[in-house]
Amino acid sequence: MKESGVKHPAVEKFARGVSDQTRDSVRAASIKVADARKTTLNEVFRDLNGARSQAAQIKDYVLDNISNLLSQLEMKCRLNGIEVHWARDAVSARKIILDICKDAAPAGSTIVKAKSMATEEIHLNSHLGDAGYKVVETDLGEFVVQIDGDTPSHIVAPIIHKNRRQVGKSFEREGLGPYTESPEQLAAQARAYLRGKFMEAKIGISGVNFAIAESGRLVLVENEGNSRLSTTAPDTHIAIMGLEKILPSEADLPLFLKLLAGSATGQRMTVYTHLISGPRRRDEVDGPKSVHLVILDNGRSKAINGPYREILRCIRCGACLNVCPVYRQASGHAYGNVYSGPIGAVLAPALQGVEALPELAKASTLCGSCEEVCPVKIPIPRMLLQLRDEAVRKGAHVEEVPWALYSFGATSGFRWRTGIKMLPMAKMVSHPLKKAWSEFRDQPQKEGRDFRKWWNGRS
Amino acid sequence: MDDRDAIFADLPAAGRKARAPIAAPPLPALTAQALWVGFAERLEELGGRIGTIADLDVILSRPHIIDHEAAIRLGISPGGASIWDAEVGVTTADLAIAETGSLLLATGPGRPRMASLSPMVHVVIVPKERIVATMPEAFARLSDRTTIMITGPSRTADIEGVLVRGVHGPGDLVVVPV
Repeated sequence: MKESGVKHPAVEKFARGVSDQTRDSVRAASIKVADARKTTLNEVFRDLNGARSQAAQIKDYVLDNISNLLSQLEMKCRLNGIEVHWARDAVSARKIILDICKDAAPAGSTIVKAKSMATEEIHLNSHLGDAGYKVVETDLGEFVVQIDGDTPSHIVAPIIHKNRRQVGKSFEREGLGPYTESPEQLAAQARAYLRGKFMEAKIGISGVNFAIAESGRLVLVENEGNSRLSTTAPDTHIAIMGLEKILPSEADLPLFLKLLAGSATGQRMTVYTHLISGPRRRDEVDGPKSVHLVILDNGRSKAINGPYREILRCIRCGACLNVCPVYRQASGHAYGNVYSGPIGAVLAPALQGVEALPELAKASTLCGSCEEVCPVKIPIPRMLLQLRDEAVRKGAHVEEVPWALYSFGATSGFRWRTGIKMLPMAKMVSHPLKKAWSEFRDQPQKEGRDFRKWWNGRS
Repeated sequence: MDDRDAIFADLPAAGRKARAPIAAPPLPALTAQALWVGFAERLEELGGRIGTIADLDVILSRPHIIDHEAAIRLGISPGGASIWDAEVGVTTADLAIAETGSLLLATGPGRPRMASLSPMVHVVIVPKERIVATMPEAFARLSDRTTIMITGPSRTADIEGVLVRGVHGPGDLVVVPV
């Protein structure tokens, strides 16, 4: 995955390497969805602001009562016949899932996967691949990402950075059918190819959008049908969720389903809302024979007690990406993390620690658009400032030296005047520090007359 | 310490805030007939369609229909092929929801999951009295079975944001109120 590439990815550095084609694709698609979001949500809710406040309150209630709600969810799931597993980190989650897979089907078997950010977070595919399983992503966008050896660049729209010609070439290369630029035909080719995978798979893996504590039900939303097929056709269904993805009761669902659909894609409602109450029952003819729920911590329990707690309200709609001026220019890969955009710039350091990702919080103009569209009112700009502050205090900030120099020069009249006079000479100096500073900044050119000379000489 | 204990040790123990009540906006009482008008509007926006019994006859004259539990149990459709080859799935919905054009289908005996999922055409029969105005009303009546809520035909916009119907699930959704 991308994480292994650059340890402290400078978003702006990556953005410079983004092709015009990618930037055009990302801009066009994100603007389109952002507009649809606004129109739809204002039609659906008479008081959108009130609805967002209510959703934020419910998520805060969940975070405040998380221990009780998780215990309740665990008990209710077990009563429903869902096996519950706890994973403190990615290593533990991968081991749990691999063990379930080994029980369900021998290495070499096909595993069908629905889109899930939690599985991206723990890098599950490569791990199962190393163990000999053939993992197939079945969401159209994720499938393209997989056959291209790429990574998703958007929480909701994984191939927002690609155009139809690129997808057509990939499908032709993989032998899915003759080259076409028609999205309809490309979708039909994927449908035909992936049918075979759904038919042969013994295991299906998915994420979870909401887990209902009161009923022990897992709620999965999608538009294509691949998530339903992945969790219906194979005998074993493994669902993985971050521990904050809980809702107290089914009465909370309508509000969240509407906010999620509207915020993510500008739809009034997602096509399929799957409310899973456990494995197939005796009197039923299809559905998985066993259902497993893996509840993932991976930094969340620590984040709940920390300054970035509200980031755990997130329902992964991606609305903040679509409106972000930095995201639109840089695209998702620039963030060097599974979670991109404004939400990723906070969530990734909140889960992994700011020391691991000190630069990410700078990938923002602090314009505030992200907070304005957030369906659960996460104060992202405030948190970005807090992260920047924390990074400086922990000394993980590369710009400390230049700013210290500036402060030294600017706090004395003599040093300032001398410095200004010497500035033209700076062009002759070459230093790695200077290069790092000026790589993304224009060197100011002196223009016109000298202000001090004019001031002193005026009569 | 196992993972469960480790996670719970880190989590805040007790609740601090009271639960915010969910305020449902008051709605005018509408007749089932008025609700069906609203439902049809939404369904058509989504690319689905309202059918009649006559349409049903035409659709059912096509081969490979799954509408019998027995056929599915045997892994065959009446046409003799695999269930995956079925072209039409016929189901009955528990409820229609007017505000979103959605259908609720619980699983159970004679109510296979695949019938509403695998074929390209999905025909849903809904008794006319089984319609509610809003999603909260519908969710208050959920069964304890695995349930699917369907809102329009299967779709994707992954390629350049272009809407394509029928990518994995049914591309043709026909609702027949009876």
